[in-house]
Amino acid sequence: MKIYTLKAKQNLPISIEKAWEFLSNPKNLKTITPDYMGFTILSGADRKMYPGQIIQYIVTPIGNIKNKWVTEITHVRDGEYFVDEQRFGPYALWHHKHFLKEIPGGVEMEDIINYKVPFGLLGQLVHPFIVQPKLKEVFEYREKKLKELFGVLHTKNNHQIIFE
Amino acid sequence: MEHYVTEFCEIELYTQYVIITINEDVNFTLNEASIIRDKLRSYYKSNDFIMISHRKYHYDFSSEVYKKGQLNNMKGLAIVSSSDTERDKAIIEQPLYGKSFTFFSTIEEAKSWAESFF
Repeated sequence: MKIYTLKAKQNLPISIEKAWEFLSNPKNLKTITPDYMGFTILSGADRKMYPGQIIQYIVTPIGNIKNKWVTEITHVRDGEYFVDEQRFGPYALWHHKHFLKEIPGGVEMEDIINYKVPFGLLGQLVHPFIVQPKLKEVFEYREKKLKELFGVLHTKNNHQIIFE
Repeated sequence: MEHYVTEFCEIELYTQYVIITINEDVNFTLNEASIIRDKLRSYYKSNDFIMISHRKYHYDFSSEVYKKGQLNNMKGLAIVSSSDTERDKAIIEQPLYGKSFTFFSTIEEAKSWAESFF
Protein backbone atom coordinates (compact mmCIF):
# COMPACT_ATOMS: atom_id res chain seq x y z
CA MET A 1 0.00 0.00 0.00
CA LYS A 2 1.74 3.12 -1.21
CA ILE A 3 0.82 6.50 0.26
CA TYR A 4 2.05 9.40 -1.86
CA THR A 5 2.83 12.91 -0.67
CA LEU A 6 2.54 16.12 -2.63
CA LYS A 7 4.13 19.23 -1.15
CA ALA A 8 3.53 22.63 -2.70
CA LYS A 9 4.70 26.06 -1.61
CA GLN A 10 3.97 29.49 -2.99
CA ASN A 11 4.60 32.91 -1.53
CA LEU A 12 1.98 35.58 -2.04
CA PRO A 13 2.46 39.35 -1.63
CA ILE A 14 -0.71 39.82 0.41
CA SER A 15 -1.63 40.05 4.06
CA ILE A 16 -2.41 36.91 6.04
CA GLU A 17 -5.99 38.14 6.47
CA LYS A 18 -6.48 38.53 2.72
CA ALA A 19 -4.85 35.15 2.00
CA TRP A 20 -6.99 33.40 4.58
CA GLU A 21 -10.17 35.06 3.36
CA PHE A 22 -9.52 33.90 -0.19
CA LEU A 23 -8.08 30.44 0.40
CA SER A 24 -10.49 29.31 3.09
CA ASN A 25 -13.53 30.15 0.98
CA PRO A 26 -14.49 27.00 -0.99
CA LYS A 27 -16.25 29.17 -3.58
CA ASN A 28 -12.83 30.37 -4.76
CA LEU A 29 -11.72 26.83 -5.61
CA LYS A 30 -13.43 27.18 -8.98
CA THR A 31 -11.32 30.27 -9.78
CA ILE A 32 -8.05 28.43 -9.17
CA THR A 33 -9.01 25.13 -10.85
CA PRO A 34 -8.61 24.62 -14.62
CA ASP A 35 -11.88 25.33 -16.47
CA TYR A 36 -11.78 21.99 -18.31
CA MET A 37 -12.20 20.21 -14.95
CA GLY A 38 -15.72 21.57 -14.72
CA PHE A 39 -15.39 22.16 -11.00
CA THR A 40 -18.88 22.68 -9.57
CA ILE A 41 -19.85 22.94 -5.92
CA LEU A 42 -23.07 21.07 -5.24
CA SER A 43 -23.52 21.94 -1.58
CA GLY A 44 -21.88 22.85 1.69
CA ALA A 45 -20.00 26.03 0.79
CA ASP A 46 -22.61 28.50 2.01
CA ARG A 47 -21.04 29.14 5.43
CA LYS A 48 -17.67 30.29 6.70
CA MET A 49 -15.36 27.30 7.05
CA TYR A 50 -15.77 25.19 10.20
CA PRO A 51 -14.64 21.75 11.39
CA GLY A 52 -17.17 19.15 10.33
CA GLN A 53 -18.23 21.04 7.21
CA ILE A 54 -19.12 18.68 4.38
CA ILE A 55 -18.65 20.05 0.86
CA GLN A 56 -19.84 18.22 -2.24
CA TYR A 57 -18.31 18.86 -5.67
CA ILE A 58 -18.39 17.54 -9.17
CA VAL A 59 -15.03 17.42 -11.00
CA THR A 60 -14.16 16.11 -14.45
CA PRO A 61 -10.40 15.57 -14.31
CA ILE A 62 -9.96 13.21 -17.26
CA GLY A 63 -12.05 12.97 -20.41
CA ASN A 64 -15.76 13.32 -19.74
CA ILE A 65 -15.77 11.16 -16.63
CA LYS A 66 -17.56 13.15 -13.94
CA ASN A 67 -16.50 12.43 -10.39
CA LYS A 68 -18.49 13.30 -7.32
CA TRP A 69 -16.19 14.35 -4.54
CA VAL A 70 -17.25 14.78 -0.92
CA THR A 71 -14.77 16.34 1.48
CA GLU A 72 -14.94 17.15 5.15
CA ILE A 73 -13.16 20.11 6.67
CA THR A 74 -11.77 18.38 9.71
CA HIS A 75 -9.51 21.01 11.31
CA VAL A 76 -9.51 24.80 11.16
CA ARG A 77 -7.35 27.33 12.93
CA ASP A 78 -8.17 30.80 11.59
CA GLY A 79 -5.28 32.40 9.72
CA GLU A 80 -3.01 29.39 10.24
CA TYR A 81 -4.26 26.15 8.73
CA PHE A 82 -7.16 23.98 7.71
CA VAL A 83 -7.44 20.33 6.69
CA ASP A 84 -9.78 18.73 4.19
CA GLU A 85 -10.26 14.99 3.93
CA GLN A 86 -12.04 13.06 1.25
CA ARG A 87 -15.08 11.20 2.51
CA PHE A 88 -16.17 9.98 -0.91
CA GLY A 89 -14.40 10.40 -4.23
CA PRO A 90 -11.80 9.20 -6.70
CA TYR A 91 -8.93 8.61 -4.27
CA ALA A 92 -8.52 5.77 -1.80
CA LEU A 93 -7.17 8.41 0.61
CA TRP A 94 -6.98 12.20 0.36
CA HIS A 95 -5.74 14.22 3.33
CA HIS A 96 -4.92 17.82 2.43
CA LYS A 97 -3.33 20.23 4.88
CA HIS A 98 -3.29 23.94 3.98
CA PHE A 99 -0.87 26.07 6.00
CA LEU A 100 -0.37 29.84 5.97
CA LYS A 101 2.54 31.68 7.56
CA GLU A 102 3.30 35.37 7.65
CA ILE A 103 6.68 36.28 6.12
CA PRO A 104 8.27 39.63 5.19
CA GLY A 105 6.25 41.07 2.30
CA GLY A 106 3.36 38.62 2.52
CA VAL A 107 2.55 35.02 3.27
CA GLU A 108 3.94 31.59 2.61
CA MET A 109 1.24 29.17 1.54
CA GLU A 110 2.10 25.52 1.98
CA ASP A 111 0.06 22.48 1.00
CA ILE A 112 0.84 18.94 2.13
CA ILE A 113 -1.31 16.22 0.66
CA ASN A 114 -1.13 12.55 1.60
CA TYR A 115 -3.05 10.47 -0.88
CA LYS A 116 -3.50 6.91 -2.04
CA VAL A 117 -4.73 5.86 -5.45
CA PRO A 118 -7.47 3.23 -5.89
CA PHE A 119 -7.24 -0.14 -7.68
CA GLY A 120 -4.20 -1.46 -5.76
CA LEU A 121 -1.16 -2.33 -7.84
CA LEU A 122 -2.82 -1.23 -11.06
CA GLY A 123 -3.44 2.20 -9.56
CA GLN A 124 0.20 2.43 -8.48
CA LEU A 125 1.35 1.45 -11.97
CA VAL A 126 -0.60 4.25 -13.67
CA HIS A 127 0.14 6.82 -10.95
CA PRO A 128 3.34 8.21 -12.58
CA PHE A 129 1.63 8.50 -15.98
CA ILE A 130 -1.84 9.77 -15.12
CA VAL A 131 -2.40 10.85 -11.51
CA GLN A 132 0.88 12.59 -10.75
CA PRO A 133 1.03 14.62 -14.00
CA LYS A 134 -2.62 15.64 -13.54
CA LEU A 135 -2.04 16.82 -9.97
CA LYS A 136 1.07 18.69 -11.08
CA GLU A 137 -0.93 20.39 -13.83
CA VAL A 138 -3.68 21.38 -11.37
CA PHE A 139 -1.19 22.86 -8.90
CA GLU A 140 0.73 24.68 -11.64
CA TYR A 141 -2.54 26.18 -12.84
CA ARG A 142 -3.38 27.28 -9.30
CA GLU A 143 0.06 28.86 -8.99
CA LYS A 144 -0.44 30.80 -12.24
CA LYS A 145 -3.93 32.00 -11.26
CA LEU A 146 -2.78 33.13 -7.82
CA LYS A 147 0.05 35.08 -9.46
CA GLU A 148 -2.47 36.79 -11.73
CA LEU A 149 -4.75 37.56 -8.81
CA PHE A 150 -2.20 38.65 -6.23
CA GLY A 151 1.25 38.94 -7.81
CA VAL A 152 4.58 37.40 -6.87
CA LEU A 153 6.54 37.46 -3.65
CA HIS A 154 10.12 36.72 -4.53
CA THR A 155 12.23 34.74 -2.07
CA LYS A 156 14.87 32.02 -2.47
CA ASN A 157 12.24 29.28 -2.64
CA ASN A 158 9.14 31.19 -3.64
CA HIS A 159 7.41 28.25 -5.26
CA GLN A 160 7.76 24.50 -5.51
CA ILE A 161 5.71 21.40 -6.25
CA ILE A 162 7.29 18.17 -5.01
CA PHE A 163 6.08 14.57 -5.07
CA GLU A 164 7.43 12.03 -2.61
CA MET B 1 10.40 62.50 2.93
CA GLU B 2 11.85 64.10 -0.18
CA HIS B 3 9.67 65.21 -3.04
CA TYR B 4 10.73 65.92 -6.61
CA VAL B 5 8.79 66.99 -9.65
CA THR B 6 10.41 66.50 -13.04
CA GLU B 7 9.00 67.31 -16.46
CA PHE B 8 7.71 63.75 -16.80
CA CYS B 9 6.96 62.53 -13.28
CA GLU B 10 6.57 63.08 -9.57
CA ILE B 11 8.82 61.24 -7.10
CA GLU B 12 8.10 60.89 -3.38
CA LEU B 13 10.96 59.28 -1.49
CA TYR B 14 10.21 57.69 1.90
CA THR B 15 12.53 55.58 4.05
CA GLN B 16 11.12 52.22 2.91
CA TYR B 17 9.44 53.02 -0.37
CA VAL B 18 9.29 55.45 -3.25
CA ILE B 19 6.08 56.52 -4.95
CA ILE B 20 6.44 57.41 -8.63
CA THR B 21 3.65 58.97 -10.65
CA ILE B 22 4.34 59.32 -14.37
CA ASN B 23 2.56 62.19 -16.12
CA GLU B 24 -0.13 61.73 -18.72
CA ASP B 25 0.94 60.61 -22.23
CA VAL B 26 4.64 60.40 -21.40
CA ASN B 27 6.68 58.03 -23.52
CA PHE B 28 8.65 56.37 -20.75
CA THR B 29 11.95 55.05 -22.07
CA LEU B 30 15.36 54.06 -20.73
CA ASN B 31 16.28 57.74 -20.61
CA GLU B 32 13.48 58.63 -18.17
CA ALA B 33 14.19 55.45 -16.17
CA SER B 34 17.82 56.51 -15.85
CA ILE B 35 16.86 59.90 -14.40
CA ILE B 36 14.67 58.21 -11.76
CA ARG B 37 17.38 55.64 -11.02
CA ASP B 38 19.88 58.40 -10.25
CA LYS B 39 17.50 59.88 -7.67
CA LEU B 40 16.98 56.44 -6.12
CA ARG B 41 20.71 55.72 -5.92
CA SER B 42 21.36 59.03 -4.32
CA TYR B 43 18.57 58.68 -1.74
CA TYR B 44 18.68 54.98 -0.81
CA LYS B 45 22.39 54.30 -1.45
CA SER B 46 22.64 50.56 -0.52
CA ASN B 47 19.45 50.47 1.58
CA ASP B 48 16.58 48.28 0.45
CA PHE B 49 13.36 49.87 -0.75
CA ILE B 50 10.12 49.09 -2.57
CA MET B 51 8.91 51.00 -5.63
CA ILE B 52 5.25 51.98 -5.85
CA SER B 53 4.18 52.95 -9.35
CA HIS B 54 1.06 55.06 -8.96
CA ARG B 55 -0.63 54.86 -12.35
CA LYS B 56 -2.98 57.78 -12.14
CA TYR B 57 -2.54 58.57 -15.84
CA HIS B 58 -2.11 56.68 -19.05
CA TYR B 59 1.42 56.60 -20.46
CA ASP B 60 3.47 54.40 -22.74
CA PHE B 61 6.58 52.62 -21.64
CA SER B 62 9.19 50.41 -23.18
CA SER B 63 9.59 46.90 -21.74
CA GLU B 64 13.35 47.59 -21.92
CA VAL B 65 13.06 49.53 -18.68
CA TYR B 66 12.46 46.26 -16.86
CA LYS B 67 15.43 44.55 -18.46
CA LYS B 68 18.14 47.14 -18.05
CA GLY B 69 19.68 48.80 -15.06
CA GLN B 70 17.51 47.49 -12.26
CA LEU B 71 18.80 48.40 -8.83
CA ASN B 72 19.73 45.43 -6.63
CA ASN B 73 18.36 47.09 -3.52
CA MET B 74 14.92 47.58 -5.08
CA LYS B 75 13.18 44.59 -3.53
CA GLY B 76 9.77 44.82 -5.10
CA LEU B 77 7.36 46.73 -7.28
CA ALA B 78 3.72 47.54 -6.59
CA ILE B 79 1.47 48.88 -9.32
CA VAL B 80 -1.40 51.02 -8.04
CA SER B 81 -4.44 51.71 -10.17
CA SER B 82 -8.18 51.42 -9.86
CA SER B 83 -8.44 50.72 -13.59
CA ASP B 84 -9.01 47.15 -14.78
CA THR B 85 -7.04 47.94 -17.94
CA GLU B 86 -3.98 48.90 -15.90
CA ARG B 87 -4.38 45.72 -13.88
CA ASP B 88 -4.46 43.64 -17.06
CA LYS B 89 -1.33 45.46 -18.26
CA ALA B 90 0.35 44.70 -14.93
CA ILE B 91 -0.34 40.97 -15.35
CA ILE B 92 1.52 41.16 -18.67
CA GLU B 93 4.38 43.14 -17.10
CA GLN B 94 4.76 40.74 -14.17
CA PRO B 95 7.04 38.17 -15.91
CA LEU B 96 9.34 41.01 -17.06
CA TYR B 97 10.27 41.84 -13.48
CA GLY B 98 12.14 39.11 -11.65
CA LYS B 99 11.39 40.19 -8.09
CA SER B 100 8.33 40.68 -5.93
CA PHE B 101 5.54 42.22 -7.94
CA THR B 102 1.97 43.02 -7.08
CA PHE B 103 -0.90 45.40 -7.73
CA PHE B 104 -3.33 47.31 -5.57
CA SER B 105 -6.25 49.58 -6.16
CA THR B 106 -5.24 52.10 -3.48
CA ILE B 107 -1.97 53.73 -2.52
CA GLU B 108 -2.58 52.93 1.16
CA GLU B 109 -2.63 49.19 0.44
CA ALA B 110 0.65 49.51 -1.46
CA LYS B 111 2.29 51.45 1.39
CA SER B 112 1.15 48.82 3.85
CA TRP B 113 2.61 46.06 1.65
CA ALA B 114 5.92 47.92 1.30
CA GLU B 115 6.14 48.37 5.07
CA SER B 116 5.52 44.65 5.64
CA PHE B 117 8.96 43.93 4.10
CA PHE B 118 10.87 45.72 6.83
